[in-house]
Amino acid sequence: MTFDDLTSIDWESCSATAQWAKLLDSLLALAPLAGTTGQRGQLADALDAFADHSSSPDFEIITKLDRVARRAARALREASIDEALAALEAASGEFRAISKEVGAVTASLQKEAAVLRAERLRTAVTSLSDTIASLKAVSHSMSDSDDTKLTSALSQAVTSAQKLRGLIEQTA
Amino acid sequence: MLHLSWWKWVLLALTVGGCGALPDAKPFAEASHTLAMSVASAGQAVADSLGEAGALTESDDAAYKARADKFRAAWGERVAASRAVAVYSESISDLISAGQEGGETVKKVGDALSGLAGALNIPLAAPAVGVAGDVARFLADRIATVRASDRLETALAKAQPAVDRLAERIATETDQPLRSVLDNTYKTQRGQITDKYDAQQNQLQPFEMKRSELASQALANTDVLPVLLQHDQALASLRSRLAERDRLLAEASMAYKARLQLLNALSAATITWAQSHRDLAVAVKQKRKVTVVELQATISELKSLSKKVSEL
Repeated sequence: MTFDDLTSIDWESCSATAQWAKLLDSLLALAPLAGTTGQRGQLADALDAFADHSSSPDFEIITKLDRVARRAARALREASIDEALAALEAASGEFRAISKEVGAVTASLQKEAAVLRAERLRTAVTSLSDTIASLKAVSHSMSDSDDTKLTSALSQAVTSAQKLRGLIEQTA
Repeated sequence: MLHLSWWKWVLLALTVGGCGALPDAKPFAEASHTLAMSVASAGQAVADSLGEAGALTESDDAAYKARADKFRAAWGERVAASRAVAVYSESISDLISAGQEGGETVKKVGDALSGLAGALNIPLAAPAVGVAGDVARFLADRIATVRASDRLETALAKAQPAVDRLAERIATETDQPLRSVLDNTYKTQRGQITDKYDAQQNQLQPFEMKRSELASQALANTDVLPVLLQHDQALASLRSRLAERDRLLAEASMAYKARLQLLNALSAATITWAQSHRDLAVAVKQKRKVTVVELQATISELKSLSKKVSEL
């Protein structure tokens, strides 16, 4: 039997327990030759199919044959699982490199966002400084007038604006 | 020639020059987060599958636990890389926001000053104040946009090879080693379940033949009836055991199909996501909106599959 024959096995051709035993021997003989994941999978599927199809009035012997087939299938599949795990483990370094590269770009973007936000605050501080200066000028020019209410309101506005500027500067 | 006052010219310039904003990168950032979560979910699904295969027989439990641990350690690097990309995506969105906030802040300060002047009855020409505020806002927006855009263009171009590599690797690994682990683990689990019931399955046919034989005999000889009854009880017990096997097989099959669907969706979504990163880079360069319909549809499917698998 070869790997090409595995897909065309006629499961109805066996009836006696001896025929089933012979078929199982042929399948097991391929196990040491199964070198790839594909071949191992193909053979394991055939061994499971053997256990699914086999039948005989001597059900104790046929159950033992089924068990041998199922265990061989499991061993083949476990070899493929271990091979896949080894492949994943071997490629892990590449992901560590990706994390590092992306981390460097992220740091530069975060830094730039912080700079833009700081500039935003500087703009606000400049605007407020100009306002304070203007309000002060108005306040001084009105100091000699009789409108004490307006003078007082302007003084309060200057104080509030100065406080606000202080707060913005602290945030920056 | 058309004569306009200076502030009308400024307004015209604002209208014409106002287009060309940076694209909204939030959908991409959200998609990157979902993708990172799905990479973790896919890993958990495969680790669970290994655990379930080991739990069926006591002798295999330790070996499968060791395999699951080995897998988790290896897959953890993929999860970390996809999380790093999610943080990177968030920083793109954050930088765009920082650029957009520039104009907004100037507007707020301008509004506050106009309000203050109004409250103090300081006579200021309203159109002039408005236009001056708009000009300041426009300039702040343009400066911030250009700065953010320059940095983004550089960053996106720099990150693209890593994004492509991550997407390609995740897609390939999902299609190959991960799929291989899932397929082989499921089939092993299926084999182990069936193995436990092979004896009953092999007894079924001889039992059914014997039952037919006894039923024929009972027609002629009523003394056989108690034996037939006993045989029927044994047959019912056998069928009940096999129904239990079929239920376990159906459960394993359902879990396998859901996990497989998640792996397939993850593979497809990763490729779409990398393409979206490329589209975003072009949109930033051209200062235009970016279409995220396909990305959102793919990510939405991925999210629902991750949820389905986590509920198994």
